[in-house]
Amino acid sequence: MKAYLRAVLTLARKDALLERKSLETVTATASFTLLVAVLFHFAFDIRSAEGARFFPGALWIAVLFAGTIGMARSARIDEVEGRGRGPALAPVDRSALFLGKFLFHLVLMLLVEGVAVPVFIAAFALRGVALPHLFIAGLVLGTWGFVALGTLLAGATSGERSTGLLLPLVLFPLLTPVALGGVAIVTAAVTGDVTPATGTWLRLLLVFDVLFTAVPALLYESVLEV
Amino acid sequence: MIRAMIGAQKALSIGTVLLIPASLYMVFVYAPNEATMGVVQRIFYYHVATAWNGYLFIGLVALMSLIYLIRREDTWNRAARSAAELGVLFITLTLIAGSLWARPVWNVWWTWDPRLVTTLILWFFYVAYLLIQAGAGESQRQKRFAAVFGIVGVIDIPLVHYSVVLWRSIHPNVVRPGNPGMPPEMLITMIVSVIAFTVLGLYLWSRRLEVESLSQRVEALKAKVLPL
Repeated sequence: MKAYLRAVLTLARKDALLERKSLETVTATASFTLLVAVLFHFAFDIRSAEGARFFPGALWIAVLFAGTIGMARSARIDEVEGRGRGPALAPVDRSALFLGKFLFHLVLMLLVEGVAVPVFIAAFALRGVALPHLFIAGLVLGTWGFVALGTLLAGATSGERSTGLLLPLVLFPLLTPVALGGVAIVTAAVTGDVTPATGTWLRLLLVFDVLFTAVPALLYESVLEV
Repeated sequence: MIRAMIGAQKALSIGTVLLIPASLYMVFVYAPNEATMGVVQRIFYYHVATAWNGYLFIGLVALMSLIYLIRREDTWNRAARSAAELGVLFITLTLIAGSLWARPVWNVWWTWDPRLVTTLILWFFYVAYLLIQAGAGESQRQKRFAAVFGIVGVIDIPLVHYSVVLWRSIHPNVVRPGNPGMPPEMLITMIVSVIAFTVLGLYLWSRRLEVESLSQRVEALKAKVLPL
C-alpha cells in the first residue's frame, strides 16, 4: 500500500516537475479562465447588483472549459513526446498511472482556481462569500469529479486528430451532475441560502467523485497504448 | 449470443410483421380518446416505446463493450457500435415525438424538465460514442476507448437523471408502481406498443449484426487474397 502511494506521488511529481519547467499549461489554463470572466461581462453586460446571480455559473463554465483545454493539452503533449511510455513500463499497478495523472491535474486545477476565484469575486462585484467552507467544499468536490473523468477521457482522446473538439463532446454530457451540483453549492455558499437540497448536492457530488475515480482507475489500462 | 441474435432474425421478422400492425390498430382504433388532450395523446404510445428502446440499447452498448474489453474480439465492438446506432435512432424519435406532443399540450416545443434533459444528455452521449467509433478506424486503442466510454456512460446516466430531477422537476409521471394512472385499454395499448417496438428494435439490430458479420468475412477474405 505504501509503495503504491509512493508510486502515485512519484508519477504526479514527474508531471509537476515537467510543468514547472515551462509553466505552459498552468499559464494557458489560468488566463483562459480569466478571459471567460471578461467574455461573460461582454455577453451579458452584468451590473454590479446582479453579480451574485451570474457568478456561480460563470465560474463553473470558466473552470470546466479551461480545465478541459488544459487536460487535452497536457495529454496531447504526453502523446506527442511519448512521455507515457516510460511510466507504462513501471512495475506498478496500472491504476497508479491513472491516479498519478489525476492527482497532477487536480492540483493544477486547484491552483488555477486559486487565481481565478479572487478575480471572479472582484469582477462580479461580490462582497465576499457568505459561507467560505461550503464554497471551498463545493469547488473541490466538483473539481475532483471533473478532473477524474477528464483525466480518463483526455488520456483516451489524446491520439485523435480531433482531440481538441472530441474531449468536450465526450466529457461534458457525462459531467451534468458536476455542472448542476457545482453551481447549486456555489450559489448556496455565495448567498448563504442553504437548503436541504444543498446537502443532497454535496452527497451526490461525493458519490460521483468516488465512482468516477474508482471506475477509471480500473479501466485506465484499456485506454493505454499497447 | 451474437450468432443467436442473427439466428433469431426470422422469428423477430415474423414478430415485427404481426406486432407492428397490431399496435397500429390498438393505438389508432382500440385505445379511447384521452379526455383533455384528445387525439394528440396517442403519440404517447410510440413515445414511450421508442424511449424504452433508447434505454434498452444503451444497456446493450454497455454489455457488448464490457464483453469486448474482456475478450478483445472485434465482433463485440461491432455489436456495441450497431446497438449505439439504433440507440441514436430511437432517442432521436423519442425527442421528436415528445416535442410534437409538447407543442399542443404544454404550449412549447421544449422545456427543461428532468426527463427531457436526461434524454437529451443520453442523445449527446450516443452521438459522442459514435464520433469516437467513427474516428477509431482500425485502432485497437480507440475501440477500447469507445468501450470504456460506453461503460462509463451507463454508470453515469442514473446520476445524470438524479441530478436533473434535483435541479427541477412538469413531465407527466404516468406510470407509477401500483398505479398505472390510465384506463386498462390505454395500458394494454402501451404495453403492446412497447413490445412491438422492442421486437422491431431487436430485429433491426440482428440485421445490422448480420451485415457486420458479413463485412468481417469480406475483410478476412480480402486480407487473404491481397496480402499487403
